Amino acid sequence: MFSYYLKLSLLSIKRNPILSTLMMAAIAVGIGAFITMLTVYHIQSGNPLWYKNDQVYHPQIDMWNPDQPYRESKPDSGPDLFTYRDAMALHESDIPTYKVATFKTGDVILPESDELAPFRDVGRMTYNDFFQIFDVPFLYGGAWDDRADQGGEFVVVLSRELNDKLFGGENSVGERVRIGDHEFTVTGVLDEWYPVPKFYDLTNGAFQGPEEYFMPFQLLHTLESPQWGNTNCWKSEDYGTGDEVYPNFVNGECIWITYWVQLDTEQQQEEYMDFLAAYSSEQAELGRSARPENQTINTVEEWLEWNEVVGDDNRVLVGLSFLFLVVCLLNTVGLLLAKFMGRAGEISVRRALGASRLDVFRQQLIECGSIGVVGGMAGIGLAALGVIAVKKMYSFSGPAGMDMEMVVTAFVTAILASIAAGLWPAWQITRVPPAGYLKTQ
Amino acid sequence: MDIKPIFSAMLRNKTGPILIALQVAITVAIVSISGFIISERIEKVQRPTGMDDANLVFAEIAGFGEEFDQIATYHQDLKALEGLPGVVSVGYMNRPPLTGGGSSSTFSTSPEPDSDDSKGTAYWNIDERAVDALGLNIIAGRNFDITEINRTNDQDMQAYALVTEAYAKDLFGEESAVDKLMYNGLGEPIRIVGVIDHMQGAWVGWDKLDRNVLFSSLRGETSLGYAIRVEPGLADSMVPVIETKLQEINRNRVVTSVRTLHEFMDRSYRQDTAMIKMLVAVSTLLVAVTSLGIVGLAAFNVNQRRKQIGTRRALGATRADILKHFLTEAMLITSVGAALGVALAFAMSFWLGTQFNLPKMDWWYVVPAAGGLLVIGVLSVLGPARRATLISPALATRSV
Repeated sequence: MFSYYLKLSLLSIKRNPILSTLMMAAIAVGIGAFITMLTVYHIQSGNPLWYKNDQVYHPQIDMWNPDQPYRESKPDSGPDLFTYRDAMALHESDIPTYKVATFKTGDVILPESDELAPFRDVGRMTYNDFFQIFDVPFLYGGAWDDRADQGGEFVVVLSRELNDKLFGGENSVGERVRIGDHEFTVTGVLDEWYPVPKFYDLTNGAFQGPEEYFMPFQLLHTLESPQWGNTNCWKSEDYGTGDEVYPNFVNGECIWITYWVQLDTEQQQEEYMDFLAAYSSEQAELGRSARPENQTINTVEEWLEWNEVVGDDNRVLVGLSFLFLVVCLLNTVGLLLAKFMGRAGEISVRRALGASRLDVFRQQLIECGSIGVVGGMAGIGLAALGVIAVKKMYSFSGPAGMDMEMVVTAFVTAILASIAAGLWPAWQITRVPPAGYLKTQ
Repeated sequence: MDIKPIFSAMLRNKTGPILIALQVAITVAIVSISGFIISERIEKVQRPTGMDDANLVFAEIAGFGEEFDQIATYHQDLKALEGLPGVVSVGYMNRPPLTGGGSSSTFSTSPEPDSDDSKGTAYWNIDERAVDALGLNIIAGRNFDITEINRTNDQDMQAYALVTEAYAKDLFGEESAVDKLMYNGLGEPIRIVGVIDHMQGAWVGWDKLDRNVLFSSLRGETSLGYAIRVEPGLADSMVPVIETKLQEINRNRVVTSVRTLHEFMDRSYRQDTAMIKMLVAVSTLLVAVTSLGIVGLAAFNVNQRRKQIGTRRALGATRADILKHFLTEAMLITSVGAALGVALAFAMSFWLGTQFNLPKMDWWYVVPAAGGLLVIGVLSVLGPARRATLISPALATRSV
């Protein structure tokens, strides 16, 4: 019966090409706009590490200005970054499975070959746990060993892009690269890796790409690595002059380090909370922290929320585009009504020949569904174009776009919407008394 | 004209008019709210920068190696850049404004360290040439003297400053700031030599965007930045020329960026311009879909009522009467829809204000939206209505 109804609806669509096209266009445009905005929202609200959401945590303690919370809007919350001294104190703990202190930096890279001019690139100082905790994929080699984490060895992990640039994409493990004033040995090359949002360091914009090279954190003292991320200070400190400046800054009260831990079990999580509490109250006794109760651990999801990664603009646009879809559907309801009413005669004949109201109703809904299928597919096409346009507007070059989830959402929305739009007209048509129409035939 | 028969004609088939009225309502609401957000964003993007922004190019370089001499490079670069045809004026500025990156600090009128009355501002390092290169306007006091530019890496030498008028007011109220002292967090004094009428700083979303302090300093061990003012209309074409020149004269450093100020501004306002474009797109499509809906309904009505129209014509109604009938009908439906839309707009604006950090819509934004939809409603119905006037009175006498 279904296939017969389907045939009927195709016939009916063919018979009324203008009206049918208009309906499909209305659904396509509505779905296109709505799914475009929803996809942008979906990208922004994504959590690349969702599968480790109960394992990976961003701790927070509050060593900020005793007279003033870090953010007036979040008085119960410490800052989003750490001082060097606090990060190193947390790093003493053996509770986490993995732990990583990290910050963004940058330096001049001097290629061997004369064909390539020296250039400046963005890098990251971090521990080898970084690649474990965030499941960073390697193309060649791997992270440096634990000894290198102490800071004595000049080793580096390159991004795939930088390896392409410097070594033409060859396996460069063991090769040497000159970065700034030192020669580094390559221990690994990353594969394609572009988490969106850039959850592990949100301080300079959540939609930037990852860094191009990675080095042992403790090299910062030797290299005097500049802070390319945010540095926030609440206290004025005299860093002296010349060679004293960098160490004085590092050991000062400015915050500039991101810290992450992996806590696999509930027991670890509880122990770690206790550890943070003990550290905070110890520092409070030393007079350093005025709000020792503000320590917590955040899952990646909570951390994205805390940083308000999804903009208000985007939420407003999702709402407005949904209303737009509603208007397109109201339009479709009107068009369907016109179309069905024009067919009152035909329906009356079918009714007179024994079709029940339910049969007629079902047949009309199947027709709406088929219009929804076509409109939905066109809508997915429009949304794909829309997402490309929006990405261009934001100059966002990351790989994120419409995924299967969004395609399915678009399709299901289109079909449900067109069936919902068809309910009222289909019901109306079943109420037409057949006799009245049969008489005039 | 009597509205009553039109009204009763509509009541015979309520669904169509109700659908159209709802569409018009949502359209009016969205168009007024979008219009408000769009005009607010346009205002934000078009705020004056205080600089000759259309003609500014910024170049940044990073030195490397032991031999890199910052001051020698500075003099060499200035000479080379000034010699380029098309360049009007060059000065040192540690980093370009309006990039979303920069430094901020607080200063106070009291020498007490970390004083409570400290006021926040962005700060920059420039030389005595940068004021002219940026096109800044000094309204009180004077520019730096060349002898006041700190060429050492000594932190204590940061002793002279130019401030924007907005920041001068923060510190000194209505009093003149010229020749007064302000103090950094350590309590070290800084002498204000002049006041600039206006200049935008680093972060376009910051409420202190117009608070800026310019220090007379070339500090920075391995990097240099230049503000380059070029002849009108040449900004884009000068970018590659400047880049090549800087690379040519010294291979012992990296030219990290050469960009126009407008490029930085476009990036800083990307979120806002994207929002404007998307709201314009949604509103335009919405109006188009709604007006198509009105056309559709009117065409359907005309078709359904061919016989009645013919009868009315036969009974003496003129073509103008028929036209008026459909126009009045459209007016009625869109008016009801627009009235609903105005209410919906206010409700939505209120709700958005509570949910998001959005300012409340000015009430008069509903006026052009509702008025525009009324006009569009009438225009959309013109085509079908004109076709209705062409229906012959003879139709009434035919049975089918």
